[in-house]
Amino acid sequence: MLTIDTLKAFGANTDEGMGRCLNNEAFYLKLVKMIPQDKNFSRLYDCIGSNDLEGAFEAAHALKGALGNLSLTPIYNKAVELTEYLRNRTQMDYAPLVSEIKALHSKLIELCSD
Amino acid sequence: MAEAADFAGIAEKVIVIQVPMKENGTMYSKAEDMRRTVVVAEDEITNLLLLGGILSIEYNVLTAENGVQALKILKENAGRISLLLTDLIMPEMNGFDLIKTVKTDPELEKIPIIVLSSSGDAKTEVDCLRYGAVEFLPKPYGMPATILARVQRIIELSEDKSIIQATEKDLLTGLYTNGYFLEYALRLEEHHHERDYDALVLDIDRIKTLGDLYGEGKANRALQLAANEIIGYLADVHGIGSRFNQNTFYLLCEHQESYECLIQTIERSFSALDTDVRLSLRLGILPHVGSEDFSSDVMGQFMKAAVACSSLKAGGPSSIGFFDEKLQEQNRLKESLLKEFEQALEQRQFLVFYQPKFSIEDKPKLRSAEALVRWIHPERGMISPGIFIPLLEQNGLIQKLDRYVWEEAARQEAEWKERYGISVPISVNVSRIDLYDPHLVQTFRSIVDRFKLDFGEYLLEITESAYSSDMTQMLDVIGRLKDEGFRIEMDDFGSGYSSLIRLTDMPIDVIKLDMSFIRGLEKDSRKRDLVELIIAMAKKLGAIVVAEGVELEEQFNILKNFGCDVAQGYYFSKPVPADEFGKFIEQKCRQED
Repeated sequence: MLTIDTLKAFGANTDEGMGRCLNNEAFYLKLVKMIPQDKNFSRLYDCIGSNDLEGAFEAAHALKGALGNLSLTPIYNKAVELTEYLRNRTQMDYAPLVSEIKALHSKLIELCSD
Repeated sequence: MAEAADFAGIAEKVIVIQVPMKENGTMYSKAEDMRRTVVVAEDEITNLLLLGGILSIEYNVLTAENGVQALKILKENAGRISLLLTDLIMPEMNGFDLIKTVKTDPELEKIPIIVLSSSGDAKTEVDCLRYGAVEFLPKPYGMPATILARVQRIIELSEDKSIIQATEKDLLTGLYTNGYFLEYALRLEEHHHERDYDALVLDIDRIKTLGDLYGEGKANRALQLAANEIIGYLADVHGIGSRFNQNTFYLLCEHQESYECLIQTIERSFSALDTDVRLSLRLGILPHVGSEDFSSDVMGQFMKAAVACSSLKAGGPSSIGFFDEKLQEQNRLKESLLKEFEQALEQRQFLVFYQPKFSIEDKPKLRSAEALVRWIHPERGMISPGIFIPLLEQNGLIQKLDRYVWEEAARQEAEWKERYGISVPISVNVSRIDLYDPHLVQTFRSIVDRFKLDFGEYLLEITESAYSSDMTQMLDVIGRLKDEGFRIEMDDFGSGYSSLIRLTDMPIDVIKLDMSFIRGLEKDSRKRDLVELIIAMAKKLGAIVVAEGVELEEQFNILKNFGCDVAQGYYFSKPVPADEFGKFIEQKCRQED
């Protein structure tokens, strides 16, 4: 079950995230629970798979904003890194970075499942 | 789909009733009439909910997931939206296109826009500003209090700007209104110290006549025509302008050697009015406005230009005048005289002088006197009535002085009667403005009663120009004074516009020929013909004719030949103080013995 403590254990800066949510824990947790289903994850994975760097950038950029706002620090940091590479359309092997994101994504799905 | 309960209690003020996930355009919170409405366009749902939740503490929030939806919401609520917050990367229509569309739509262009952006891309930010965004909210967002403060500030600035835009321009002419003009003039001069500026005051004469004859619409049209030319002119000379009051314009522009072309352009534009009222312009200029003077007293500089303007003759052909220190000196004198007036009245600095009037015959006899006021100033000496009388007239103080003179002359008349046992009628001047006083008849009645004077001993001189302004009113007042028993003298006859024909309408006892008829009478045969005609006509109407300004024996003799009754002027005596006038009365006493 998703709680402030499990998010803390995940590495989230929950004080900051809660602050943005007017210190309303229920509101914060509700928003966090919406993250695993964010369509930008699948869009990111698909675009990376088809080497659509522009689409991947847009998806990563959007994820970055949402993850940052909820202060999900570990996955946010990875999204920032990925976004900057994609912003410059850097030709590189994105697989390792995307795998890390996928792993953290999975971890979030796990935390959010009841 | 999230549920309402999830958002309840975000803060006390937030009463969330609907969730916007699938219902773009619905409000987060119950509409409260006084709350402003903001639109958030953002495709990332958590961001949308988070920002919407924060904003809903203070605002009604309408949400959109892309630019197309946002635009639709904006159009549907045009005029009610206080702010648009938009993400940049969105499906269907991105943020850039949304900003561009909003800023080129006349219905929406005034809505301020905040861009929700990930920080760090300077080019993007510059582009957004160029398209018309005013502010950025970087992601991740700051704390709610910060966001609310920034949003509030943007909205207030925008609303202030709208208020300014609504009040800074004169609706009729599109020129600035006074307060804004002075403020902007100050800034313009401050920002361009290197430029040499002139302060200008422009009056259009006869606008009122135009309005009276052809209606206000025509007068307004004239003001618009002039303003259009002024605006065009100012654009070429780095200037700004205001319509300062009804028919007066204040302008500030780079120094010009000549303003003839401005005057001519405006005059030419009046031909579109198709009227025979000849509007004319008076332009007063303070050239080379000094920076220090300007920043310490901006209004003072325009007042100097106004002094130059008011020194020009109103109603003549268009004219241009420059401010100089002499004008300023005259103006300062006027200002201090006005300030000192009340005290001067109390201290009896105003003295009534008397100028004798003699019968025109071989042995002229003292007939009467005109009471004339003199201001003997303790420091400045004798101040010319030509200065202080028009000044008091313009400033609504003449009635006070008139009353003082009326009383003083009546008191003097009573004293002379008592001392010499004979009466020398005194005439007093009634200003045009006095005729509007509803208690005028009563005032005179009480004066003659108090000093026990007969109506034949206390005459009222009413200047000719008073008759031509509002005939009905004048005839009514004169009629009532006549009914009461007073004798009326028409002063300055021939100086204004009244015609001989008009004399037949008026119950006048005495006509005083203006001194302009007498000046040069001995040299000018046409003048002589005219004077002869007026005298003959006046006599036919049963009026006594008094000639003013008689200075020479030849003039006296000509008037005698024409049958003129009475003469007043330096030929006999200048106006003299009361005690000096005594000798004329004594002489009269001897003649009658």
